[in-house]
Amino acid sequence: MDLKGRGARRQANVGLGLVAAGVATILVVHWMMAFWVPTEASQGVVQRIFYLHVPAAWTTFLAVGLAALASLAYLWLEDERWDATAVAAAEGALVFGAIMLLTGPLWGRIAWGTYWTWEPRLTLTLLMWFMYVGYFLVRESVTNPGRGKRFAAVVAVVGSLNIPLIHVSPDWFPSLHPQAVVIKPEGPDLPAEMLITLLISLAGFTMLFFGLFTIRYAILVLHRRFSHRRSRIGAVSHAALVAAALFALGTPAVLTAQVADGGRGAMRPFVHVLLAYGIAWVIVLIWVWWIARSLKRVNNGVPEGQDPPHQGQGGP
Amino acid sequence: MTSLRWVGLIAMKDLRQEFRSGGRLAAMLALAVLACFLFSFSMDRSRVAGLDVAAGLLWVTLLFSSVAGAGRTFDTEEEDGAFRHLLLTPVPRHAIFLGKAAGNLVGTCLVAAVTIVALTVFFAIAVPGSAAHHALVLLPGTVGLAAAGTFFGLISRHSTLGDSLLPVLAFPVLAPLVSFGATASSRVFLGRPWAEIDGTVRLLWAAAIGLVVVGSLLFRYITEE
Repeated sequence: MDLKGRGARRQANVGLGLVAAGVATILVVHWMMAFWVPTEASQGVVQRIFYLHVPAAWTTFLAVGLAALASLAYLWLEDERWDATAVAAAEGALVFGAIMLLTGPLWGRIAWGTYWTWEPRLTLTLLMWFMYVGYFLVRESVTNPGRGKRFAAVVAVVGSLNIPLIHVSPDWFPSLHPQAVVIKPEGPDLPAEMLITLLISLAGFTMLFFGLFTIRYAILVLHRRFSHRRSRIGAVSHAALVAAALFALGTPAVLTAQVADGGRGAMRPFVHVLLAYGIAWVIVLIWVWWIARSLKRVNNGVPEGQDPPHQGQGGP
Repeated sequence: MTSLRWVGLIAMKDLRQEFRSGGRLAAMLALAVLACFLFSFSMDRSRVAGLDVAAGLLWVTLLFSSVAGAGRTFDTEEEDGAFRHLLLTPVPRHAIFLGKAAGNLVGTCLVAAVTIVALTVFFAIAVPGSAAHHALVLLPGTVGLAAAGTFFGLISRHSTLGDSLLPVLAFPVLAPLVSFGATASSRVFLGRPWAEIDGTVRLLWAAAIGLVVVGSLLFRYITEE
């Protein structure tokens, strides 16, 4: 195995370690969210989506920033590794952005009375997400691959210009969006249990993102055979699936017991919390499946963006 | 030769070419008028007052017409290879971008003027605010629309998705511009004093200048072979 192959192994190991640590941390957050953290007085149970929505938003902006910086570096240096960094980060931006955009409305329906409102931060975030959809559309639809990569890099840079606007929008425009409660000049404005749960969740999401990002980067850049890693990636995705299933089956029972005398109407916030956490797992697992698929294609010698040869026509 | 002179020459060349053939500009104007016409009978006029919706319709029409037109900016030159020859000349890439955007700006301004007249006619708006105030609001808006349309028009020109890709790329970037523009225009339509409009127009200028600067800086990366 040459240096690139060893690099791939090392990166895959680091990635798998981070994914495992991230998944374990997020499962701990699930337990804390369901059994440990107190219910917020004004918003009630639905506030528990906060421990998922805020870390997803943080990870999205981290991924967008990384994609934009890597794209700038690619435009400047024309090194393929920066392009691969941007692609892996942009996939993360789409995945965690989807979690953020789907869990926010589930909270908003209970807290604001509506799934969606044309509020500046929501609107700008949705537009930024669409820019990253455009990133992949441009990349795949331009016939000259080099040109497609450059166009996509430009789109990533333009899309990231929304980040400062999104950050300042609640201050500049009339906004329903909650103001910052953690990063404030006077310090965090949260009970200790809520703050600890949020910080652990932020750490879990960050590790999960960087783990999947590292594996995706390794597959994109090195294109080497590390088929023995497939079983480990498969094991991690199966473990995540089992954990999600346990969570999906176990938590409703516990939460139902907690509101047994509250009537059907009282169940609604719980259903929204469950839906939010379930959707997040499904979206992350879709990315895991996508990464496993790209690894399989590398192992089969099919370059990214091409269809595998048909049966009977011979392989590479 | 200074960049500004190159910008002027390229804009004049594009305008001359456009006024000789006239196809693209005519299509943009026809689209704008037809959109206003369709809006006018798709709404229940007994419930919706023209003045309440005119600003939104103006900006949506302007957005669709300008993006549809900008998508065709490079068509003629790409077909006969003239754009590649233009890139081989010593003209700075940002000057090419600014010249092309300036050419599109003239078309977009014409569309804006025709759209206001069409809205006035189809929605029977008696006094649609001060003409000078309309111009002051629409100018930064059209600058932004022309810059984004020109930039993303070239990207979509090289895509197999063609014009269907252009809105996906351009609309998210142009949404803040349209939002600020519709807010300012609705105040002009309602005859509010300039002091109430001034702040939004400053935001419009900020968005438009941002699009022009980013387009100028990044244009060379989308024209590299």
